[in-house]
Amino acid sequence: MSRKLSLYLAIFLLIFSCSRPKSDKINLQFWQFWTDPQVKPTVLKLIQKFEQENPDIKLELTDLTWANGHEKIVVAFASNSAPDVLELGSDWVPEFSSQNVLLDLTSAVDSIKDRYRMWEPGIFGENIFAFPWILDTRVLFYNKDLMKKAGLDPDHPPQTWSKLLSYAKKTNQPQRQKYGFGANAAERHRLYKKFLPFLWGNDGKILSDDNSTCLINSKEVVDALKFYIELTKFGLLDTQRRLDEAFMQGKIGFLISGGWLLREIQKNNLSLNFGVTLMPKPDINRGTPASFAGGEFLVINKKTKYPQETLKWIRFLTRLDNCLELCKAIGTPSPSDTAAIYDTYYQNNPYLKIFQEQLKYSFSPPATPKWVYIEEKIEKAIEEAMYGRKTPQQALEDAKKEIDKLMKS
Amino acid sequence: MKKIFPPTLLFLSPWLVTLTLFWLFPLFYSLYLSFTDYTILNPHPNLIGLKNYLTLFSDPDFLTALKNTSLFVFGTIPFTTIIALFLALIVNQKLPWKGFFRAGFFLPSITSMVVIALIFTNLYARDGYLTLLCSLLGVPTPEKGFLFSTATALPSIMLMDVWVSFGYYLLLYLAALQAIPTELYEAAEISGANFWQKFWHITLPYLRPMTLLIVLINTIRSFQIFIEIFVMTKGGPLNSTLTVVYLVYENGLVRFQMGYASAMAYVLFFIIMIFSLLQMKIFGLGKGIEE
Repeated sequence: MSRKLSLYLAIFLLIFSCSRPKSDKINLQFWQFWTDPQVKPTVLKLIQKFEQENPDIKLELTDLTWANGHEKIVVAFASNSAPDVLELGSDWVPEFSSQNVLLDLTSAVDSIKDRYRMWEPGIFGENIFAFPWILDTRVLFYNKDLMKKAGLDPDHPPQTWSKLLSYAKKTNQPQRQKYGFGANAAERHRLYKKFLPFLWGNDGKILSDDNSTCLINSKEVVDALKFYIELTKFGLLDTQRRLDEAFMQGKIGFLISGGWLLREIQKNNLSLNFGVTLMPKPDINRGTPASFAGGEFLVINKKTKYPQETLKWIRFLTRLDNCLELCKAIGTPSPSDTAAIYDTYYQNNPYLKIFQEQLKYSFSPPATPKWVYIEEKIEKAIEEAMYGRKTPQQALEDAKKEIDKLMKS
Repeated sequence: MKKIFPPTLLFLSPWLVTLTLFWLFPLFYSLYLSFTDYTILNPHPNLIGLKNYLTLFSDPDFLTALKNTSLFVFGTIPFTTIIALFLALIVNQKLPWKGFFRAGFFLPSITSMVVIALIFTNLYARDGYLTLLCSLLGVPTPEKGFLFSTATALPSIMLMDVWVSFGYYLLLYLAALQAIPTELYEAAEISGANFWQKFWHITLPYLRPMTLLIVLINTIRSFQIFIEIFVMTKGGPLNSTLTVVYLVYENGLVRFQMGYASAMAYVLFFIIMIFSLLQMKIFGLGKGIEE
C-alpha cells in the first residue's frame, strides 16, 4: 500500500514540479510572424536592444506562421491565453477590434498620430485599436522582353487603363505560352484585392462614409468591373502563387503583385528583364493610380497586466530607426512612419522608390467587422460577371442589395 | 474489484484522458454549441434552440455544398472500388515486377495530400502539362483551365482523388484475396469451372466483407473531403467545388460562427451515419459467406 501511495505521490510531484520559476522582472509575451532566417535575427536584435534600454522588462517571443497563425490567435483569445502584444495582418484587425479584446490606444497615440500612415484598418467606431507597423502595397510588374517582342517600348509601361488593355492584348499569345495580363482566378480572400484598386482608382466606393449603405452599384464601380473583366480575357487566369511563378518564368506581360514577388526574383537571382510601375489610372487626367495596401499592425491584449510597458514596446518597434532596420532585413516593405521615404535605402533603389510612391495612393478596405462577409459578396459578384452568369451591372446591383441587408442586421 | 481497480485505471489513463479530453468532450461540447450562437471571441454563448439547424436548410451555400459533396462521394467511390479490385486481381497473379507495381500503386496513398494537391494544381493549370497533352492530342480543354471552369473543377478533383486513394483499397483487397483458401480454386478447376465461374462463385463472395469495409471507409472519408479543396480551389469557381467540411471551416475559423459550423458538422455526421447504416444493410453485415 505504501509503495502504491509513493508511486502516486511521485507522479503528482512530477506534474506539479513543472511550473515555471518566478522572477521579479515584468514578462511580456510577444507573438509575431517574422520567421524567415534573414529576418528573425533582426527581430531578436531589436528585442535585445529593448531589454537593454528597459532592464525591468523581459520579452518572451513566440513565432507564428501564416498558415495557422490566425487560428492560433483566435483560439488564444477565446481561451484567455492571448499574449500581451501581437502582430496582426491588416485584414484581420477589424475582426479583433470589433470583438472588444484589444486595448484602446486612442488617447495613447493621439499626439503622434500624424507621423504614421494607415490608421484606418485599426479604427473601430471612434477608437483606435491597432498601431500600423510595416506597410506593403501592390504595384504593376511588367516584363520588358515580352513588351519588346510585341513591338512596345519597354521604357514606357502603361499608365492608363486603355494602354494596359491594349498592351495586354498585344503581348497575349496563349498558343506560345505567353500571356498578357496575370488575372487572379476565383480565389477566395484574394480576388477582391485585385479588383479593389480599379474600383478606388475610378473614384468608386464600397461603403458610404458612415458604413451604412453600400455604393458598389455606382457607375464608377460598374465601369471598373467591366474593365477588369475585359482585361482578364487577355491573359492567364490562375491563383496568385502560380501567377507569381509564371511571371518569374517570363510567361506573363503584366501582373499586379507585391513586395514578396520582388524578393523572390532577387532571391532566385533571375535574369528576368522586368520593371515595376505605379498602377494605371482610368485615364490620364482622371482618377488615381490607386492600389491595395496591406500591412502588419501591432495590437495589445485588453487583458494585459502591463498596459504601459506594452505600449513602450510598440512605440519602440515602430520607431523609425528600429522599423527601418527590420524593413531592410525583410527587403521591400516600408515603415508606417511617413519620414521613411527620405531614407537613402528607398531613394536609391528604383523598384522600392516606386513602392514608396505607390503607398501614397494605397487604400485598405473599410474597417468593419462585417468586412469578411462583404468581401465574399464582392468576390461573388466579380465571379458571376467573370463567368458570364450576370452582367457586371446586375451582379453589382445584387451584391449591393445583399451587403445593404448585412449592414442593417 | 477494489484490488485491481486503481492500477488498471492508472495504466489505462493515458488513453482514457486523451479520449475524454480530445475526443469525447469536444464531441459533446460541439453538439451543445450547435444549439447556441457561439462565436469564438464571445465567451458567453446564448442558447438559441434549433435556429442554426433551421437556417442551414435555407442557406444556399450549404445546399450547394451538400450537392457537391454527394456528387463527389457517388462519383468517386464506384471508380475507386472497381479500379482497386481490378488491379488487386492483376497484381495477385504471378507476374514479373509484381512488387514494383504493388509499391507503385500504393505510393500515392502514403504521400501527403497537400503535396499531391499542389502537383495536380500545376498539372491542371492552363499552362500545365495536362492541358498541353490534351492540345497535342486534339482534345478540347476548358478555356480558363481545368480548375477554373465551373464544369470541370469538381470532376478534375474527383479524378485526382480516385488516383490517390485506390492504392490503399487495393492493398486491402490484396490481403482479402490472399486469405481465400487455394483449395477452393483447385476443387473448382477439377470440377471444370472456367475463370469467370471461379471469380463469380469463389472470389467475389469471399471479398464481400472486405468490399463492405472498403465502401464504408471510403464513404466516410469522401464525405469529409477538405484538404484538396482547401489547397486547390477554396470552393471556387462560383462555389462549384464548395464542400460541406470546407464550409464548416469557413464558418468556424474564418467567420468565427462556431455554433453554426457545429450544426453543419452535426448534419454531416448524421448523413454519414445514415449512409453507413444503409450500406451495412445492403451488403448484409454479419452474414456468412456460405449462406
